[in-house]
Amino acid sequence: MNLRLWTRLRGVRLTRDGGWFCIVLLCIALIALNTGNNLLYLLLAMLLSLLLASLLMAEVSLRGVVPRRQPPPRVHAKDPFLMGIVLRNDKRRFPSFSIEVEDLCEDEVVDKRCYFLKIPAGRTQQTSYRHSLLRRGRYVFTAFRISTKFPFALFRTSRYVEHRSEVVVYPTLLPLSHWPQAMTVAIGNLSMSKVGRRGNFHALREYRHGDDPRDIHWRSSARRQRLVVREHEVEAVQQVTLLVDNSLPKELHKDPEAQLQLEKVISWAASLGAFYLEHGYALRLCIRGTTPPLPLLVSPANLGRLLLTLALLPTVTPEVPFQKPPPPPPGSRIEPEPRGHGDSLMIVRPNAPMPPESMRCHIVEAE
Amino acid sequence: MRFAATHKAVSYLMVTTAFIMLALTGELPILLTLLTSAGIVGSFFFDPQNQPWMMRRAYSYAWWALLLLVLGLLLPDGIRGDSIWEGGSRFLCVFLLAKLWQRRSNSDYLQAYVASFLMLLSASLLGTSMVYAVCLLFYIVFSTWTLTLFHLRREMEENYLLKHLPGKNGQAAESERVEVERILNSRRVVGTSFLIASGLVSVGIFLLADLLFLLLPRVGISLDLPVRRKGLLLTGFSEHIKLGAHGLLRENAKVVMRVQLPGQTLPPDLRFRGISFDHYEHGQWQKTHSADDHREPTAGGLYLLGRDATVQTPQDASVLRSEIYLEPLETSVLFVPAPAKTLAVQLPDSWLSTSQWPLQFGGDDDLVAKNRHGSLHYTVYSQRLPAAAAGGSSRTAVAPLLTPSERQQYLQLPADLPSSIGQLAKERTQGLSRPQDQATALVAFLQKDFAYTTQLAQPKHAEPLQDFLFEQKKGHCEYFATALTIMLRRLGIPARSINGYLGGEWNAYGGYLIVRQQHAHSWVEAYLPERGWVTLDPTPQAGPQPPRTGILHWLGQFSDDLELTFYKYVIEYDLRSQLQLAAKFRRTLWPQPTIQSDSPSATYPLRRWGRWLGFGAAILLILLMSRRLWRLLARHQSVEERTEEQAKGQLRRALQVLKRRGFVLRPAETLQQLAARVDLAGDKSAASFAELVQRYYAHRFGQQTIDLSEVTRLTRTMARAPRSSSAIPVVPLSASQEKNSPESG
Repeated sequence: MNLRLWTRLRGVRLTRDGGWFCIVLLCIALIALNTGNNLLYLLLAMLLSLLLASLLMAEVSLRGVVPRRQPPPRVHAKDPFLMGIVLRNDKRRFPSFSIEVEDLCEDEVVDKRCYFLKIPAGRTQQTSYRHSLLRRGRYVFTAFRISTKFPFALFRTSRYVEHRSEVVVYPTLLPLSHWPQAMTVAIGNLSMSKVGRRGNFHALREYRHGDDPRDIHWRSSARRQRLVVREHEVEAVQQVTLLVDNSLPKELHKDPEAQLQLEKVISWAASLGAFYLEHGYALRLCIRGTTPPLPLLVSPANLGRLLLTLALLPTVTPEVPFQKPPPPPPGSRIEPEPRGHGDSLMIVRPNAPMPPESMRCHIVEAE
Repeated sequence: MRFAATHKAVSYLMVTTAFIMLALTGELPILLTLLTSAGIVGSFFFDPQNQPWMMRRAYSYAWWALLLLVLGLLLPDGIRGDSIWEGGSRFLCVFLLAKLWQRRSNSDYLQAYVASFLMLLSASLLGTSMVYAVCLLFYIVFSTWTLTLFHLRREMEENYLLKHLPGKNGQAAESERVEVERILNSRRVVGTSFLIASGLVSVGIFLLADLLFLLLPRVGISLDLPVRRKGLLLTGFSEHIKLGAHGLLRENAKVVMRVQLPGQTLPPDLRFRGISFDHYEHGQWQKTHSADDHREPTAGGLYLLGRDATVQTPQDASVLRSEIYLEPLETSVLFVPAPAKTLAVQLPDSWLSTSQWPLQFGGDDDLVAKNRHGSLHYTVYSQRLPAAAAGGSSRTAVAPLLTPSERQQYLQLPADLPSSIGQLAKERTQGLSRPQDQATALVAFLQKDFAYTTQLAQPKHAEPLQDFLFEQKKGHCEYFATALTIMLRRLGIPARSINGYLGGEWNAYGGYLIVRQQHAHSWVEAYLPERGWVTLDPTPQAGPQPPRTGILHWLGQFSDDLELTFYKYVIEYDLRSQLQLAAKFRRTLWPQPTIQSDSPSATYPLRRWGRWLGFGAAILLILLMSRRLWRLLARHQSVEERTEEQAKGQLRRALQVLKRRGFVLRPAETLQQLAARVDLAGDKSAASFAELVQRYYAHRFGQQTIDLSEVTRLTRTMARAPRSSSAIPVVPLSASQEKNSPESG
């Protein structure tokens, strides 16, 4: 028997209805054998044919069915997400009925089955399942198991379809009711894409009650026959450095409690980072490791990079030093080192030693 | 076409077909057949979902009470072995009606399907007709449709169907629940193409079933099931004769037997001898000596009659070989061609093991098949006899002399027989001394001076024969045969009355003789010293029947030929046929010269070994299937799977507890919604159930370990919780609550 056929046969399991069917079939077989009643033999043959036809029709229903995965753009640990499942029927004539799809992540079934009642020939249908992953990191979805009990629910015929895709699960974003304020403000180092009182010209707009009359742009107002004011960009950037201590002593690497605590640290770091980026802060991430550091993150559009880095953050030993900050962009006056001048330092740690006193910092203890 | 309507229609087609198959066996009383038919048709138009009165509990209880009543009535009869299938068939009809009139859920449909399958099973045990095969084809088509649609319906009701709403970049953004009712009313799920395609699959299933039917090994171990098919009620032939009891024989066209004479011409005046009567009293004939001579069959189930009887070859022109296919009759008599000397009778293999002495012989040449049920095919080898002169045919060339007791037996006369009958016999044979001449004269007298009729007037005398001979001067064959027998006996000639069938209708399409009830006949056998037992028929011969023509006649003959073909190739298909088919197949593929013999005993050793081989193969097949089935049912489970199963089992128990308390999980309702509903209703088990659901969800979707002992405790707490006395109305969940369900993915 060739391997392919053997694999397919292994994918056929008797259902409870099928078990009863087989018991009835055996009883009729015994009666027919004992009595020699040919109509019972005919009935027995009909039941056997139904079994064979059931297997055949299930095979036809599964053939040409191609599943596909549509993961959401961002998945956070412990947050439910909708994983889209798309099923395409490549058969030209026959529809597929009663198809169940199970997603396999590293050969383990992820969640309950997605059910498709009918997929017409040559058509695609879509559904989704809700799931949550408990830990951050990279998840590899390896395959699908598509199965059907069509047409008579006597067998569950299933087939594995390899389809590899990766989903990076970001750390959980915690709701922040209050946050440590950045303590210093450096002016003129970087401009923010945010309206301020004085600075580079940002835009013109119609005068509104309460605007400073000094901002009226008279030339434009004269040209438009109505008052127009100037808007300026804020030049005072608030810059935050997140110093995330992703280290654990070697003996605690396999300690669940310590690991859990470290996960909380990373989750806090991600939450703070997301918060500061959304509120216009420039963010610098500093972790332990030898990988090159992230460039300065200056807008919410950079949140993905921050979360990706934190999602894949490995646990290291305390001997591993923090990353060296990246060189400043040419012409920039920003200090490469987080020295505390014009910079707030957020240390997110489980039980790290205190930072140097010269640094102005908050120590955020992960709760 | 709408899904629900299609499912309902095909379900009715399936159960109706099964009912028709059962009704065609003739085992159901007419009244029950009519009532069930009307009930099936009526239930189609009453949908319980649209009739509030059909949703009440009292309605359901009434049906259950009716079922129990019927069961109670049928049980005493069922305890007796003979009527267990009969009673079971009747109960099935009532059960089917009960389910069709209460089509509330899938389980009701399923139970109706099971009832229809049991009807099919009963029909298989009781029927032998070609109509069975035709109905089976329809049943397979309808059951394929029905079971497929039933599976889809059950799946769609048990699964949580979602309609995907696309979000940004084709990502899954939102999903909304699809109502089951909407799909049930949808016209897009199944259509004509679906029915055509699945119908073609059904035809394939039927053809595959036919192939498997040929291949399945035949082993007749003969477990005697308590199945007794009701025989055809005979109107012309009977094992007891009471003059005047039968009438209208010429109008009953039920087939009694079909007779094939392979490669031979149809002899003139062919009749089929059944039973002989020796004792006459007050218009009634009786048989005083039963057949009790037992003989062992030779090879191939061949019974040789007479010590010197042999069957050499069927090609012998003097030997008439008749293949007789007897329908189920209410008599155990076997019919043999007459006038001829029966040399041997061959019974089928399956018949030989039904009882210890399946075939019994009597001294009066009667053959009785003991405990015969259902139809029977047997072969009779007879010695053709030359036609005798003077209106009679000789049965035996050299007849053994009658013993004094036999002579006395066949000269018996009732003590109060009117003397006028004897005087009439003497008058009509005056001057004749030879018994043969006397018999010829009496036959001529009856044929000439009396008329045939089935319309009999009220008798004026106590002795019906006196009425016939002196008053009416007309009657049917039993009167003629009785009159001749009594008059011969009065003259001292041993005689007996014979019941059987005369002639038949030649089926030109199939080349065989159809013998119907209307061909039943009585005649006389007289013992003449020179010639032995001679057949005499005093009944006036009817004029030649006009040949029947027309499309209906042709169709009738064609369908009858189909019946015979079905019987020969399906009902009679046995191990010998299988071996012959295999040999033919082998000869077709690998032609080789073989020595064949048509002797019935030639294949006997092969048959014997074939039977054992077939038996062994069947046992092996059953063992292998059982082993495979056992493996499938008791497959190994990991610890996680076992825990999962146990947790699900506890959850099912909890749902059962809630069901007993009046809370049933609705289609597409989540467990949390059910818990909220139970809590809203103020039931005491709500807290335990909510905690149980929380734990189950945490295990199932949160990958947390479940504490089975705690789950079991919660289930028990639910079961022991007192029932709430205050009936708080159950408020259905709003749509928004349902959408926010944690299971909506």
